[in-house]
Amino acid sequence: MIDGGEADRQAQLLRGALDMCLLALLSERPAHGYELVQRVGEAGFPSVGYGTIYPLLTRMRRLGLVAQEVQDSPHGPARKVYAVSDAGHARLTDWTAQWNEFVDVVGSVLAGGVPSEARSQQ
Amino acid sequence: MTIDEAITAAGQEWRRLGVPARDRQALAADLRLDLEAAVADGVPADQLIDGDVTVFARRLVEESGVRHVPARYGQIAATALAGAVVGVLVGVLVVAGLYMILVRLFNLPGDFNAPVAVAAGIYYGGIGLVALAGAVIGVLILLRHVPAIGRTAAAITVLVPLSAIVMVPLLMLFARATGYSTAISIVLIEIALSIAGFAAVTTLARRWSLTRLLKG
Repeated sequence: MIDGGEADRQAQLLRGALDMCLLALLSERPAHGYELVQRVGEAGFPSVGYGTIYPLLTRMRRLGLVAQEVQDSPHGPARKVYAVSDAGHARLTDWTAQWNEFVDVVGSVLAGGVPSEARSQQ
Repeated sequence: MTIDEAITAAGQEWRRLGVPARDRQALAADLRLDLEAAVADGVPADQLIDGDVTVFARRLVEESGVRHVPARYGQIAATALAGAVVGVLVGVLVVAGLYMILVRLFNLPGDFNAPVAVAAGIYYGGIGLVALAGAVIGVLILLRHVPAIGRTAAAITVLVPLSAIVMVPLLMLFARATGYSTAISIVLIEIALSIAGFAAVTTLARRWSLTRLLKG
């Protein structure tokens, strides 16, 4: 059970990483808006709702990282399906490398060590 | 909450934020498509937009990168009107002061008579100009934090004198039609017409300045 303080902390951590997570999930398989919400929940962020994801998708579309296509559905209304663009794939590669480096540094600091790069500068 | 209710609430917030009509329509159409698909999957719209629709609408506008400036028509019209009222009072004093100075400086012959139209034009025109200055200065100072207020003040400076060309004859016609009555009801109607006309022009000025800004 996550209490209020921890939930805030998690929300802060997620704020800088959610767009990257969305790109990663969409790069696995295109999805429509609500389906992406479900996949984010299944990935481990059940508290992240449509009200957070839809504006973020709108921003990523504006930045050209995500493309949308309206597809007719045999079972209901037409659906907007989001997919990662070429620019989005390139950005995801950059972000992934940046994130891994960041995690390494934070992990080293938390483990009480000094990151190798910082050691070489000393 | 139905999809229509959610879209309407979001649309009202976008209008309040000053999002141009075309962008509001595009945002609404996009959102509707997404909500309809989700509702078809059995998820109610109010469960999707968990919480305050206006917060969601604001966030969506910020993330979409749509240029928007809050209109604040009422606030601008009220401030300009207050400035104009102060300007009228100052204008009366200025014109009266100038008149006294001119009388002292120039010893006009006793039978000198300026044409009534010229004298009235100078008197009321002078007061009108000071009133306009009051409105513009009031808006610029009191609403300096409002985006694009400089453009709006410039538009007021242009449009108010132009509107006076239409409004003043109309008011004169009304006064003539009522036999130049000074009955309180007639005077109040004249004041109300003047205020309504002024408010309409300042609103038009704001709208004009925002249209130019968002197109530019």
